[in-house]
Amino acid sequence: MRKLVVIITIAALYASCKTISMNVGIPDKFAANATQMKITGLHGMRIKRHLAFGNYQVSNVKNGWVYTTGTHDRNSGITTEERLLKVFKLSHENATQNTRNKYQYTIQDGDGMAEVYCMEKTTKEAVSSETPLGTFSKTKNYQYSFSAAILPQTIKDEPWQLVFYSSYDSKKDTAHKFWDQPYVAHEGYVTNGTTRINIRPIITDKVVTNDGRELKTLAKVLMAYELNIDGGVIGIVDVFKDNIWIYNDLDKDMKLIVAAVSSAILMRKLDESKAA
Amino acid sequence: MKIVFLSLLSILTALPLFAQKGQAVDMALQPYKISSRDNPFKRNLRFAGYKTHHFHRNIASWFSFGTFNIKNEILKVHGVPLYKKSKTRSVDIFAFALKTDSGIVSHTECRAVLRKNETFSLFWPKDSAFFKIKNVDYLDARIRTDNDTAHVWYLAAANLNGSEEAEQQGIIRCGDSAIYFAKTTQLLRDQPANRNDPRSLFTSLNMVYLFTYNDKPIAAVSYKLDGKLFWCRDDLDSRLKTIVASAATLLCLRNDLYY
Repeated sequence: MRKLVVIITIAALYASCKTISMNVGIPDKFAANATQMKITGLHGMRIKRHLAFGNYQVSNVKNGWVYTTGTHDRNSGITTEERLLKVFKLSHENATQNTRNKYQYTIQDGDGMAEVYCMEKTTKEAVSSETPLGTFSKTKNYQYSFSAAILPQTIKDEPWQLVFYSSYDSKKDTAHKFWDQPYVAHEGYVTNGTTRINIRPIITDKVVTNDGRELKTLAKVLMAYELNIDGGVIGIVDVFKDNIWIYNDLDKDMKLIVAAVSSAILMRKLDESKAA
Repeated sequence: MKIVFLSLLSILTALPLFAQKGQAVDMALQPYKISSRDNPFKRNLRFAGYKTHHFHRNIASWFSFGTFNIKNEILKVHGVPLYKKSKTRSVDIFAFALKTDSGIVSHTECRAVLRKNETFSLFWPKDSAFFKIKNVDYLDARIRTDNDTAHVWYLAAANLNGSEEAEQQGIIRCGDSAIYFAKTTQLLRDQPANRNDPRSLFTSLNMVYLFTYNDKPIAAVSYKLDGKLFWCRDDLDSRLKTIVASAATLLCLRNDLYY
């Protein structure tokens, strides 16, 4: 009898998970004028990765090694936790960890092609302490930087530069209660000197079910990246459901740039949200 | 001493305006790798055509002096301190010259002092952090360029050890000219500009001391010692470049004094 109850419970949970399929809330006005493209080849083996969405193909992917170095480095500021650990003579250490990753590839849509060179880097400073109850670590600051150079084949002399960063500083953190999310500053853009496309991460606790109901999750999660020019949305990279939306009224060259930016964002390896 | 006092006073009054201003990428600042040979007795840095020469650190820099407090020993319950006063004095005194291919271009003498005065009280917290902090943390230095012995640049900085809540910043002054620097996080070039290499467009967030002159960033140097970089405007006046390079070297070579 007990086994039966367990099986029924698991089946019910599975069924509910299947029905409550969560989606990013794409604005109706944008969705009506944009093309949704499902990304394939994103997950699984990273060797000889072949990403594709719509009529865009990613090829010649060259992945670099992920380098991580960790040392005792200069302390960026003494915290109250460190002072308390010192008073109570608990062993602790302030360590800084740097991680770096580089990759490059080409993206083509059948007619045009663009070369994409990417680099991502993280720097994390944390205090770890050893207590009789175990080892605890507290992040003091965390910086994530993502940078890319996009060279369209047609106008190689006008490369697009992508800059994206997120930065966490425990001194500026506004999270004081258990459920509060840490305050992380974000900014991102792509520019060729004349046009600027802003990259805005959509971190939300509101999701939309398949039947259109709006639900609230327990914690805020990164669902997508919005690409906009002066507030007008031209693309959405849905990292939750592996979709890319590109606005229909863009010219072919601009669509290729949006596709290159979207693929560069999706092919990152380092975690930008490891702040707290 | 008067100059040091006046410099510190100017930091306390003028520099709160020098706060972190957004995260715009300054592509004019070109990066130079700082290669170093570190050992406890000799430290040589080489970057942007400069090289340290005749580095000397005073023996007093190796010691920290403290006072005995009887309350620290009495006010304990099963080894758990109820009260602890930590009062120590540490100094870091060093000098070095900076040379280029044409010879020595500057001499720098530096003295950093940290008078730590922290009182922990478990039952009578002074603030939410249980600590009453009265630290004195300053650094002063003198930079003399060899081709201009009449003008000596004075450097004064506060809180470089991060032992207080205040900004970590300083000023380098000679007559009416002043270069400000402050610890900040800045988006900067990762590789030197190269028209044939698209990777030279890469930028990343770096924890740096950013130098500004006439409200414009002119140079920066890594705060962290691992993978040190020095950024500088290529069109910077050579005299200012030498001063900034000397100050950057000083900031790389200084010891942490908070124990």
